[in-house]
Amino acid sequence: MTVFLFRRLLSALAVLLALSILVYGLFYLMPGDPAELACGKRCDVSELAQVRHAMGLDRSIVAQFWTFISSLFVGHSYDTGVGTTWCSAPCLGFSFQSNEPVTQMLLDRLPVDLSLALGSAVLWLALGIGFGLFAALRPNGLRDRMTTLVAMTFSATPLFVLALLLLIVFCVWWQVLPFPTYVPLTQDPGQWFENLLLPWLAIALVTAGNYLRLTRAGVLESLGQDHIRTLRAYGYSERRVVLRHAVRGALPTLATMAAVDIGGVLAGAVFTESMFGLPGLGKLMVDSANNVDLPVVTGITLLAAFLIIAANAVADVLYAVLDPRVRLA
Amino acid sequence: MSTAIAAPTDAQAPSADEADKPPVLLARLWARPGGKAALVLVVLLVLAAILAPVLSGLEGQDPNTYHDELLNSATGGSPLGSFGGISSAHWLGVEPTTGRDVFSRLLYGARISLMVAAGATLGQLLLGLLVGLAAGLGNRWIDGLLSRFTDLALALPSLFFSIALLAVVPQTFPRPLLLCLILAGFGWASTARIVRAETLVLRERDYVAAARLYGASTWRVALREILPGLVAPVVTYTALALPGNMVAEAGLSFLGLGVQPPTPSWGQMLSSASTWFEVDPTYVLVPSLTLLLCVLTFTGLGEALRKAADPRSVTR
Amino acid sequence: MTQNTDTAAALGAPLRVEDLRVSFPGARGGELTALAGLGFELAQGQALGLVGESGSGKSAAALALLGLHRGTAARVDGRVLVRPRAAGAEVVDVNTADERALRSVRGRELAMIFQEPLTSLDPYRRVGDQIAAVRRMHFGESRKEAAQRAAEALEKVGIDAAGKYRAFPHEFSGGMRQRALIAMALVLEPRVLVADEPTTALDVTVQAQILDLLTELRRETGMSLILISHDLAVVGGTVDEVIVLKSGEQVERGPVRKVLTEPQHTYTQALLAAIPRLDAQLPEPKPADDAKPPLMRVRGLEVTFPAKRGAALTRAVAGVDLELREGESLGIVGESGSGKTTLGRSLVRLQQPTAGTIEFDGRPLGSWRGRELRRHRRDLQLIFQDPASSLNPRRGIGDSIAEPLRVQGEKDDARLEASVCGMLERVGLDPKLYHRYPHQLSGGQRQRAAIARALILRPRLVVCDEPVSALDVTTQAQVVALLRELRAEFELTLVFIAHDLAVVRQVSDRIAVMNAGRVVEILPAADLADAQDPYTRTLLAAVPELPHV
Repeated sequence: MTVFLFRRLLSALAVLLALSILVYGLFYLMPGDPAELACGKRCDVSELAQVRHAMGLDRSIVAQFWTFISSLFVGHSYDTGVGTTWCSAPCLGFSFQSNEPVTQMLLDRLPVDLSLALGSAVLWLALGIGFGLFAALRPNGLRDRMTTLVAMTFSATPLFVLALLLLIVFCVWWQVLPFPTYVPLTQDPGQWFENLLLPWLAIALVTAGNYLRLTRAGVLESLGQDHIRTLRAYGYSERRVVLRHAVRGALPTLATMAAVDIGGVLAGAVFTESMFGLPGLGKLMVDSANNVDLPVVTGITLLAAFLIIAANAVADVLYAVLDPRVRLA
Repeated sequence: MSTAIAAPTDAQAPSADEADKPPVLLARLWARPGGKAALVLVVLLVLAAILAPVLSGLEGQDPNTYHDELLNSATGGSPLGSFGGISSAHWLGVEPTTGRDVFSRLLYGARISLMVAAGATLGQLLLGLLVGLAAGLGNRWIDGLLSRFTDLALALPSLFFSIALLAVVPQTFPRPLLLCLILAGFGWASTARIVRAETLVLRERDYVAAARLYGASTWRVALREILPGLVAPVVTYTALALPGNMVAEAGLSFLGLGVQPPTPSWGQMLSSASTWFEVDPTYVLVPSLTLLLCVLTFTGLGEALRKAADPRSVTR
Repeated sequence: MTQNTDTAAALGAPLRVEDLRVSFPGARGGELTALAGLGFELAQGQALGLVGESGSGKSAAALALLGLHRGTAARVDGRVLVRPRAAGAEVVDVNTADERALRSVRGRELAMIFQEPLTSLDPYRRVGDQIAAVRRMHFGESRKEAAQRAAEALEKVGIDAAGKYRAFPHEFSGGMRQRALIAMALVLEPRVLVADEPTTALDVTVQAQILDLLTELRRETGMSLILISHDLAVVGGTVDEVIVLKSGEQVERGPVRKVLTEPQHTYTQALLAAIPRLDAQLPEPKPADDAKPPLMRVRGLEVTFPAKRGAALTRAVAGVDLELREGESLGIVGESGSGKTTLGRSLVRLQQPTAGTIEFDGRPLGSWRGRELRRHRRDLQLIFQDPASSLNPRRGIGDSIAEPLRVQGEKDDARLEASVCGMLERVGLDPKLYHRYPHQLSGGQRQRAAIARALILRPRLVVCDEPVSALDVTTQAQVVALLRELRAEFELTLVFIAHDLAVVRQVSDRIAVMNAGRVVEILPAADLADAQDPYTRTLLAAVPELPHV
């Protein structure tokens, strides 16, 4: 088990390193001068040179990349011309726009995405697995077809379209829910819950379809297997066969998919946040991209990559734990 | 000759009327009621996009003329009249603030949407097929390298990368082409993975070994024995990837990063509609439902194809 | 015991089946009858065999005994009467009983073991726990008590409960899993054990052990046994009475000795005649021409497969020396994992050897490259085990058979078609089948087509890898006879690989016995009975015997 975990960790680190090279290369070596972007519109030649020096753009690419990577681990001190500013590890630089340290900006946004991910995951797992079982109990019957059709429709719906429709229905026509604004959990749990209900619902409705399909397919596949026939032949009730044993077969896949999806929302729910005006990583990403705020864009992309790779690693470990046939070595 | 040579009379031998060729994918698709409906709808959608100028002409409007006279200046520019200003002149109403005709903007938007989705899907298919086949048929070294590369591409937070790239690449680069390239660049990896997996299964089949035994070259094996077996899974997967690309294009345009105004696109319409949904819900509903209809139609086509391609679902 | 059937009924036989019929919805609204009226009574302690080839309805019958067709499209008529052991309990008709009554019968009165021990246990739960859970459900015992019973049952079937109770099914071999399933049945102390092809997936030595175990347990516990099998010899040594099924009809029934020695029905006679026997008279082998150099010479052949993650590397073939004389037929026999298939694939250069040399016609096999290799390929052909997978499903069989000729440079379509049709006729297929797809043919027809494809290039050496083990006994006999004839006509050198000694013996001049990657003994087919090697003797002893006619 330890060997397996170690190997998995190593390969995740390797992917992360490769990705950071890619991210850095993509954003800093693009046509266009980052110093110009950082300096702003009214910037004369000497100022530009100063900024370029402060950003280290006058050094070689390898040296620049090394600074980028090392500052992630040990921090970096920036020469602003007037004095030096210390950026402590993990340092992702300072925003062109606001001059805030990027790391702090990201940490400030993370609770929003954490709230979004956990709440919506509970909802989509309940909806997906619940209705999946509901459909699998009478396969190919009317209720199976109807559930599958509705689920398919929802999962094909673009998230921003669904969010708009939900807003119109719940906030304009019925007026049962407030137009969402983010209230931290620590400030007012009731408000937090009420405001996030709609975003959760939007993410869950779009995501649940996959879980429904997987649960249904997994249960039906298990039901056709020999070991389930054994259970029937030894007098197990159909209920027990489906709910305890057939579901077990779908579990490893469901768990890994959940890990990956939660990691995805955690990394930033771009459309949900833009649509509902929630100040999370996704919204920050879109705003920074529109302002070409390179350090922030790089920081978020790197954090997202980290979260997604971590989620994939968790998924692999979960699968191995849940399926005794996977050899851990 | 001994009696043992006489033609066997096994009980399982199927009856002679089944001796026809197994029906091709398209015919099997057409035979399903869902498949028939999806195919017809897809053809209609494509025709509508191609004939956008003709259809707008029929309505008597064009997508870029401002109609200030149809707007209510008191509300900041919402359309006069109920339901977003729907009238015999403007079949689906007019846009708030500008008064441009929604129907013709929708038609022209369909062109961008379908073009980018088709282009991206084609690119993704070609790249994925190439990498997947090379990995599946190549030696361990090639396979290892390409598979690691594919894994890496799949681990990318593709939405974030797309957003960042669209922000960084200068506006002078043609946007529809850039969208195609980006979507294909992030989509090929999943196609490649499927192609590789299918190829690995097929190349272990005994008939492939048999082909090597009678001296068929690697190329001949790939073309005659393996590629035909890939058609059904790849076509199905591609059909399901297309609506995904369509949504992605609309999404990026919605974020203001896709096709730039004044070129009409569905994502932009939705983006501007999202600030008007309290005053003018019609303007939200029209592009929303159009996009939804398109995506569902293509998804339906993909699903029907998947079922048609699955030999277990053949009930003959 | 069989003579007592009537008195047993009066005392209350545990099981009586009356006019059992099973049918499935067929194409175009029709019905396919799988079983058309099966009836028997099973006395306490009696063992009954149900024998038939594929399509005989024996599996449908097995599932119907426990009401396992419920919830499927199958229609079941007739009665399956089970008399529960509890005094005064009412007789249950499996076919009409409510869910609750049926569940109390399943496992407790009639327990079943299946053909696929590899997949019949829950892969996610420990073997001991699975057995204990079944016990707990039927007996309502505490966890501890049930675990105790499960451990006892495991010991009874020869599994070390202390060491293996907490193992997962995938950690067991096929034979162990079948033992575990038998333990699951035993733990409920059923009155009847239904065994549906319990040894078909197992090696012949393991098969013998399982059959012995069943006989022993029957004697010990006094339970009745229904043994369902395609193999008359397996049934012959284990049961008292036998029913022969053909296409859902019961064609013969009687005491097993009598059915095997004096079969009344022509089908039973044909079936018995088709079974290859170890003591059958062999045709005189062709005198080997020792003066000519051997066609193929194998020296120190080793094939090693790279280690999979966590597992050690496997030496499938661990040092084999062989000589093949032109025109002879060499049989290779061994159990699963003995390396016989890997050896066969190495001989036709489908598998690259790790070490050692193979010389064909005086030249090392590995020396050919590119175009030259492709040209020489035609001399060496392989016939695969599963004809369903060795023919491209997307191509008509005629086209498949023509493909080798095309690859070797034949372009003229008329000539191609003529040669293919000639070959089709030669292997006993109607040339009208030229455009048929593999899925439209029966198993035997497919294997004939695969043989035609292998022979159309007029190879000199043909390796047959288990060519008949996927086929029914009667089809098997036809294909074996065909191979024997073609061998003479095309002057082939044949390597015939199989797990079944009796089949191999029919077509071979010499037999090589393989175990754990090595050839332990090579001897003339006629001298098989006098084999010296202990492993060969074990194999011979394990083959179930049929009484002499």
